[in-house]
Amino acid sequence: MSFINGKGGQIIDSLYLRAMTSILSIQEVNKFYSSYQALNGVNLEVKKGSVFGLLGPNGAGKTSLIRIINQITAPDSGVVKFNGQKLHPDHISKIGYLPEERGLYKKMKVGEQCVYLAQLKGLSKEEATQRLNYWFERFNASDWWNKTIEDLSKGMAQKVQFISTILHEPELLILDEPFSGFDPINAALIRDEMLRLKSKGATIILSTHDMGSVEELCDDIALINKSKVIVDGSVSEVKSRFKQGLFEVAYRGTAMELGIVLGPHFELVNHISGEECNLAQIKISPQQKLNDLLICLMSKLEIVSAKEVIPNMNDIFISAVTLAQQS
Amino acid sequence: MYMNKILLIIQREYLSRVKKKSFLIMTFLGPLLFAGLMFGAIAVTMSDNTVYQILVVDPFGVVTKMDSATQEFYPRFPDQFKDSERLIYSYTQDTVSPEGFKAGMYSVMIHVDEMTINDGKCDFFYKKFPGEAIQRKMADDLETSLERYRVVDSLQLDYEKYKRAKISVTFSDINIENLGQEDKTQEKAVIGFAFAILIYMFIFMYGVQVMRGVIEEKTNRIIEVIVSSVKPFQLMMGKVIGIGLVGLTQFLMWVVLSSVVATLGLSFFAENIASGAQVVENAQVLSTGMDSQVLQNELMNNQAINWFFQINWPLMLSLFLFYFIGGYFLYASLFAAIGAAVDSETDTQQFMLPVTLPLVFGYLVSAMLIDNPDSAAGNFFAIFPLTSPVVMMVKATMSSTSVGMILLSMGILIITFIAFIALAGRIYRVGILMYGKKASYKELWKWIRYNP
Repeated sequence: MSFINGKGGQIIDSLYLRAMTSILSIQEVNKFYSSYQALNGVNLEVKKGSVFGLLGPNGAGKTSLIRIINQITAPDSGVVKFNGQKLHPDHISKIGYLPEERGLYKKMKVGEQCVYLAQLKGLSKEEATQRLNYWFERFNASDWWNKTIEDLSKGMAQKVQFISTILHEPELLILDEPFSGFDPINAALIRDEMLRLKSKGATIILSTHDMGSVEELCDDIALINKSKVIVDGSVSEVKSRFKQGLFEVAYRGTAMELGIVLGPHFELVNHISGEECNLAQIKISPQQKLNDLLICLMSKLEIVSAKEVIPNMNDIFISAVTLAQQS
Repeated sequence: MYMNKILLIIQREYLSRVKKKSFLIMTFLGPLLFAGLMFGAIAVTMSDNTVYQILVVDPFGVVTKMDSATQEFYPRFPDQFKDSERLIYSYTQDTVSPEGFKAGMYSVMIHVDEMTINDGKCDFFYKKFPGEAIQRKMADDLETSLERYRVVDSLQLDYEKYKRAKISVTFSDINIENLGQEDKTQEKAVIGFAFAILIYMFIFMYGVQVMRGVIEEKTNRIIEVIVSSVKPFQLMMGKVIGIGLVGLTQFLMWVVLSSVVATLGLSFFAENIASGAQVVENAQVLSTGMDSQVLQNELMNNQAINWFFQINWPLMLSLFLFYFIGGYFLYASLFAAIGAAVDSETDTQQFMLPVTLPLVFGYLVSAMLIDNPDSAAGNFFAIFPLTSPVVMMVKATMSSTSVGMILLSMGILIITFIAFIALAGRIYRVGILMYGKKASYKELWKWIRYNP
C-alpha cells in the first residue's frame, strides 16, 4: 500500500492495517429476542494476539455476543468478520470457548471426552490423543484419563474443561469467567497458560467480573451495558478517559491552611491527617493543570509529593454503568 | 464435515449406551427371561401330577345310579365320568355339607342341584384348584350327562337319534381376494399384535432415552460447548439416530439370542414335550371317547404350524423395520423437543401426556383390531401417522389390507416424521440454550417461529 501517496492512500492504509490486525471485527450487530433487544448496534475490533476484556453487568448482552461469535446464534443484522472473512462454519475449528457454566459428560471417561470434543472441533482422533497426553502431563493429570468427571474434584474438572477448550489450538479463545472455581494456585496456573498462549500468538477474549484480572491481563476492553457498548479502547486509554482531574497531594501544614489556600478554585474531595504529613485528594477543573494547583499550594504549604489519581477498572465499571443508567 | 460431525455424535451416543452394563444385562437377560418364562410355563404344566379325587354329589339322581347289589353309586351314562390317570371320580346321592367335604378325602366336589339341572349352574368346591384341562374335562362330563338326561328322561327321545341330529358349526374364513386359501385372520393378527407391542415398547424405551440424553446435556451445561462446535440440528439428529441404532441392535441381539436359546431349549425339552403330548392325547382319546381320526384333524386345524407359514415373514419383518424406524423418528424427535423445553425430568409431565397418548391409543386400537379386523377406526388409525407404526403391524396381517393402503400409510408416516423432525429441531435449538424458564405451549410456538 505504500506506493499510494496522499491522504486517500493513508485512509486505505489504515483500513487495510485495521483489517490485518483485527482477528475479530464486529460491525453494527443487532440481536433481538422477540421484542427484547439483546445487542444494539455493537461495534468492536479485537486485535490479533491481544487479550480483550469483555465487561458488563449481568444480562447486558455479553453472552449473546459470545454466542454470535461462536455461531451458536446469528445476528439479526450487522456483520461479524473473523480474520477479515465473514463468519463461516469453517471458523468454528479456530475458536475455543469456555462457557461460564461449566459442563462435561458426568459418566464419560475424561480422556474419551476431551478427544471427542476435540474431534468435534475437527481434530483427528490420533492428533487429539497425542495433544491430550501432552496437556495431561503438563497439568500433572496423566492418571485422570480413565476417570469420570464424577471421580474428580471441582478444580480438577475445571482444569479438564480448560484443556478441552484449548486442545485444538484455537486462534481465538473465548473464556467466560475462567478463574471462577479455582483456588489461587490453580488460578495462577491458568493465568500463566493464558499468557503463554498469548505469547504464541493466540487472541483471548476474557469475559469476567473480576476487575483485578482485567487490569492484569487485558490490553483492550469493551464495556457493554443494556445491549450497547458504552466504553471501549485500550486499558490505558480508557483509564485516562476516566481520569477525573483528581490529584493526591502529601503536604506538611494544617487542614485549615489548606482550606484557605484552595479557596473556591479547587475542590477538596478527601483528606487524611497523618503524623508525618497529611494526604489530600483535590479535584481540578478541566481548564486547570497540576501546575496551577501546585503554585497555589506552594505559596503556604510544604509539598511532600503529588500524583494523579488513576481510576482502576472497578471504578470505571461502576461509574460508566451508573452514568449510563442516569442518562 | 457436516456429516462427519453427525457420525461422531452417532458414534458417541451409540457406544456410550452399548457399552453400559445395563444394556448388556438387558440384551442377554431379555431373551433368557422370555425363554425362561416360556419354559417355566411348560415345566409348571408338565410337573403338575396331582391326582384329583372328585366327588360328584347328585341328590336328585340325574347323572348317577345305585348298584342295588353293592349299594354303590356309578355313572348313569358310563361313557361319561371315566377315570383317568389324574382324575378319579366317586359318587353319592346324599347331600354333603361343605364342612363334611372339608374333612373328607376328596380334593374337588361337584354339587349337582336343581339349578344345575335347570340352568347348568353348578357349585364346584375345591381344596386345590385344578387346572384348566381338568376343569374342562369335568364340565364336559357333566354337560354331556345332563344333556343325555334331558334328552332321554325329559324329552323321551332316543339319544343316538339326537346325536345324529346334533351339529356343530365351525367357520373356515376365506377372503374373496384369496380364494382357495383358508384365512387365519385372527391368528395372524396375534402375530401382528406381538410386533405392534414390540414397536410400542421400543418407541417408548428409546424415545425416553433420547429425552433423558437431551435433558442430561442441558442440565450439565455441556450443551453450550457442543453447540459451539456443531449445529443443534446435527446434535439432535446424531442423538436420535445413535439411540435408534442402539434399539435396533438390542432387537437384533434378542432375535439371535432368542433363536439360540429356543433351539437349545427345544432340543433339550423335545423328548419330554413329545411324550407329554402323547400322554395328553391318549388321555383325551380315552376320556372323551372321541374318534382318534377326528381328534387328529382337530389337532391339525389348531396347530400353530398351519398359520405360522401363512404369514408373510419377510413382509412382516420389513414392515416392522420400517414402522419401527419411522415411528421411532417421529416420536424420538418429539421427545427430543420435550427434553429441550424443560430443565429437569420432573418438568416433563405436561408435555409427555399429549405425546404418549396417541401411542397408547394406537396400542389399544391394535388390540381391538384382533376381534374387529375390518373396523373403520382400524383403517383410520392404520393410516394416521401417530398411531400407524403400532396399528399397521396388526392391520397388515389381514388380507383385507391392500398394498395401496400400506403404501399410503408409509408415505404419510415419512412426510410426517420429516415435518416433526424439522419442527422439533426448531424447538430444540432454542430450548437447549434456555435455562430456568418454564416453557409453555405458547412459548414453544414462539420458538418454532423464531429465527435464530
